[in-house]
Amino acid sequence: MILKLLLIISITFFGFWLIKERKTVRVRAWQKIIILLFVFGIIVVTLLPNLSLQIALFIGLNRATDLIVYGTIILLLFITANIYLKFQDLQSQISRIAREVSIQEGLKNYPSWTEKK
Amino acid sequence: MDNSSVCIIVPIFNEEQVVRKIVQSLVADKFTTVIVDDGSSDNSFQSISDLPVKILKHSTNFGQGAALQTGFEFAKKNPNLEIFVTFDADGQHQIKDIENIISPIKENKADIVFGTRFQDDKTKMPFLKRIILKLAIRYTNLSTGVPLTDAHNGFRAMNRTALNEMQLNLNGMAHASEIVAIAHKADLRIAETPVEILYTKYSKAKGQSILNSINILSDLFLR
Repeated sequence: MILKLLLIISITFFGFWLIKERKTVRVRAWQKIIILLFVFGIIVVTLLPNLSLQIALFIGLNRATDLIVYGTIILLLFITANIYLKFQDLQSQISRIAREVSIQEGLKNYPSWTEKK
Repeated sequence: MDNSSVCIIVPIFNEEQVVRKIVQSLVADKFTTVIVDDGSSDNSFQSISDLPVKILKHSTNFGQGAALQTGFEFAKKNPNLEIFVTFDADGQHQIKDIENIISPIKENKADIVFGTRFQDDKTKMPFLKRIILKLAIRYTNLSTGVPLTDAHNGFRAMNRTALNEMQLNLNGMAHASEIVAIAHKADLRIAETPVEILYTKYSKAKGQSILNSINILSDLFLR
């Protein structure tokens, strides 16, 4: 039980850290590491089905399937959050470009705007 | 100080029914008026293009926060302006209140003034909306540490010091909390002035639905 709790807490904090620092090089590298680890983990588990059961039992789950389902859900949430945030960043970049265009247009249309009276 | 040194920034999005009347009265009071058309697909732009106001156009709809930031950055470039007011075009805000909201700045008692619906009983609002807004204020107060009575009101005034601090990153409606947070972080002198908000049929149809508060919350948390 304590192990489960620790796992949930650490995954939550890790997730928040990944979101907050998502623009840093370190986190960008971590994102790739996580996905690679997951792929690697799936391969290992496929080759050694017993291992997944042992890990599951160690964490306190009864079945290996549960372990894989939980892992997949976490990865899915992680990827969704990442795409969502990437999308938001992209939108804010686009709006900055549009802002620049509309301000330049405005300055062109109203040349006296910047003159001191 | 005359009204021409007061810049009214009005973000609009598909307001052709009402925008002309409001802009006309702003012009009649000799305010310098900057309209930011946030990608309207109706005739909002055409309906005011003959009036002596400055109109900026976003090529597509980015949200009110983005439109305000465009207005801020354009207004900054005019050296004759001293006070900057954000004003909604949907008829909720009253032009007569502008005088009240800018007076703490004129008297140099504040750098930024927020209009509030909750300091007097003038504003009538639907019950559920009142609850949601009260919760929103709680949140803004807790997260920014500024004890305001109403933070999600588009009616605000600021001086150049405050304007120079404004850098809104949240395009949608969550910018209201963002402005408070920026003001607090920059140690600006903050004040509140009661303003009357009219919930006309038009503004109710246009305004923030209660469900949108969920979007606003998610914008605030996930960034």
